[in-house]
Amino acid sequence: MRFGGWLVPVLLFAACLGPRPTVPDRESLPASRVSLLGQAPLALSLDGHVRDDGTWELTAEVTVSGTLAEPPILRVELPDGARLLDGRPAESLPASGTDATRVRRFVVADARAPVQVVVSAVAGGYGASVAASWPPVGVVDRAGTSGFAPIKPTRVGGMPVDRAVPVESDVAPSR
Amino acid sequence: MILRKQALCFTAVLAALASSCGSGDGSGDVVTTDVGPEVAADVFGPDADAVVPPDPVYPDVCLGLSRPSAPACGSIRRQGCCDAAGRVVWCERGALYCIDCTAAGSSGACGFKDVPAFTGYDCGGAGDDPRGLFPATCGLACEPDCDDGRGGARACGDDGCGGRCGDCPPGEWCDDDGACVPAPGGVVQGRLEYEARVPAFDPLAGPTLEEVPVVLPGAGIPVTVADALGAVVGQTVTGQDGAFLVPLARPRAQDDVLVFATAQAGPAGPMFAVLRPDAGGKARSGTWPTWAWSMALDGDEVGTVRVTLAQGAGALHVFRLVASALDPVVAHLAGGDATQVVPLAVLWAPGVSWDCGYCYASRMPQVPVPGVHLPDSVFLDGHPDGSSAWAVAAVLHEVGHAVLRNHSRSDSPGGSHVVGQLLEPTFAWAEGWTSFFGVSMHSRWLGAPDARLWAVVFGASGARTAFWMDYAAGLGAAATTTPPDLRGGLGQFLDERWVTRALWELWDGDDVDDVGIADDCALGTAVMTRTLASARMLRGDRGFPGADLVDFLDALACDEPGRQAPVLSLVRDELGFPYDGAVTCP
Repeated sequence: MRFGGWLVPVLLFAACLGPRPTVPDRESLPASRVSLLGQAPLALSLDGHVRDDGTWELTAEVTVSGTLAEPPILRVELPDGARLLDGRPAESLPASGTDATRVRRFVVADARAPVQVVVSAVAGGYGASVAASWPPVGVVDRAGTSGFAPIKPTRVGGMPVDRAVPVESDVAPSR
Repeated sequence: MILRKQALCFTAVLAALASSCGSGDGSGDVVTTDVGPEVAADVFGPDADAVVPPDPVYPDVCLGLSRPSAPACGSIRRQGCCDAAGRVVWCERGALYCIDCTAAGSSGACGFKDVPAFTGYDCGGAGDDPRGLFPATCGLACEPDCDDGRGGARACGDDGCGGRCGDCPPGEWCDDDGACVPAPGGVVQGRLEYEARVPAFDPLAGPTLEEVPVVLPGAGIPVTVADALGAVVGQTVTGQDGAFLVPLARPRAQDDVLVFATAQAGPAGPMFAVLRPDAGGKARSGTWPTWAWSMALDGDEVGTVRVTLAQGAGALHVFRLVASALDPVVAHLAGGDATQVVPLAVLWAPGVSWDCGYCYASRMPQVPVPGVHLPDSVFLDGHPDGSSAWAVAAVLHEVGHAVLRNHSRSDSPGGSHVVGQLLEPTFAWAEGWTSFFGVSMHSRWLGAPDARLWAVVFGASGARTAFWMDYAAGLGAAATTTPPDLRGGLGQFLDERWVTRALWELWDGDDVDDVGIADDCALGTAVMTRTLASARMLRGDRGFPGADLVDFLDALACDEPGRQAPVLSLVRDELGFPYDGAVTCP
């Protein structure tokens, strides 16, 4: 930055020199921040690695937030043929209230497909369930919606439209 | 390469410096996907706080963007106008605002602006609304003209002010004289339907989507017949059963096409549209197109067109739901004037997920085509294994944020909130009301009570989270909703689910059957919606500072005094909130 000594002050001066509105106008209202749905009071992360003997060592971290009237139930769901060498296959976790974190360790042998850990809390008219797999199951690319094809620009519902998904009816084409 | 690097550095420095001078709207930078105060950036916006009417009032004072200058709007609308003193005045949530465009430091004279995040009169604008819908001069109004020139009234067609003189029966044509006549080119008829997925609720695992879709009528969907060059030959909207009769200006030709789209026409442009993003990630502005479907016309009898899941049927579902939910908003919060509803973009596509899951952002505009501006955005998760477009109440919860923000008051500090947390009353009100809007509007759409809100979303790590709640399922030791403390104060922190539950119990029994508590309150959608924009709701404050449930209950008491006894009984005796009914009405 050879010009670092003087370039920044000069640019700062130049950028601020011109007349700039100081009275905020309507257009200048900034965007709001994003409003989200409430988050579930359960969170789960599942990490793992393959040990030297070929077994999988998994660590589940369960975070309980908010109020749960019933203790959450943790379950380990093994793929066919797999065996749980260490850890409990199902457990009722103490729900001590906000920001309680529980860590559980599992060792699995002979797994040929992802192991899934599920934590559920159900009470009255409310329930939450979180599930995670190890190794993580990749998101299958099923975004493949039928293509959007160009059409001659027209107007539908007051909106200019120039692309559309081709569809057909149950009437056989007549030509 | 060296030149390019220098240029980038120079650009970055300039950008930083410009930012340091406090100019520009910065709307692209302000929005973050971390959860923060919902309106934290609106440091000088009409949301800021000011609900107290000033004294004296406009035209004697002009208090700028942050405070209302008068407590009522008269005939002035959201788009505003320029007064004789060179000031821009406009209506925002029932109060009149004013900025003096002649003041030193103003961005320029009062005139019309049409930019992505804003359409209306402003300082630094130019001239009049080119469409003539919103005259620049305060006090002037576009005069609808439905005179047929022969001493009668036109039965159909535009009224010149964005409204309609009337609409013809399905299949009839509106001629140049404004009369409904048999269509010169005959009609194209058929029926639209689409595949939809419905949830199944497992008591332990929660909601999942049934693998086999159901088929629903494509009701209320705009449809156009266009010629080979795209010119509109005829247009209509599908009926409740999805049937359509498109009247044609001339006989059908070989290259005509039929096009459906998820855009709701309004008097001043599209009211809302479901757009098709091609990539997710951070919630942001874009130029994504409107969902549309087309087919070549082989005859006047089209038969049944079924849009499949793979063809984007979810967009039709979302469109129907949002259209249905906005009906009472236009009727009860906008005085029947659809131009007073801020145009909304709903972004959804299969396989496209946002890092916010389901969310809403105001003034995060979408521009589906040049010149069409949708200032507010709702982002819907489209994960292939998630609840996607089918978590109806969650979808409408986000639309509810737009309604609350643009037509009522939202003083919520926002921020991360976990279901079950006790929230400060303004926060619990905003989240509780929007969930109520979701389940009540869904129930109205169904014609039956369904107080369940649910969603299935996936985190960045791939973890699947499902949650569900039934607001009519009851409170008590077995449920997780935390009830209020009857011995506590009016300003006590609340569980947002309890707020939703209270609103549901006040509402049900009119539009749909009463479920949950067998109470004598059946206020229904009209009363519950009107109350949001009542003078007491917009300008009063009791209990916790800011808009909350107490203000809503007070507003109900002011507007519906005959219903106060059952409301008090429900809220105090059945639901355990220490509401006292000691209201002062404006």
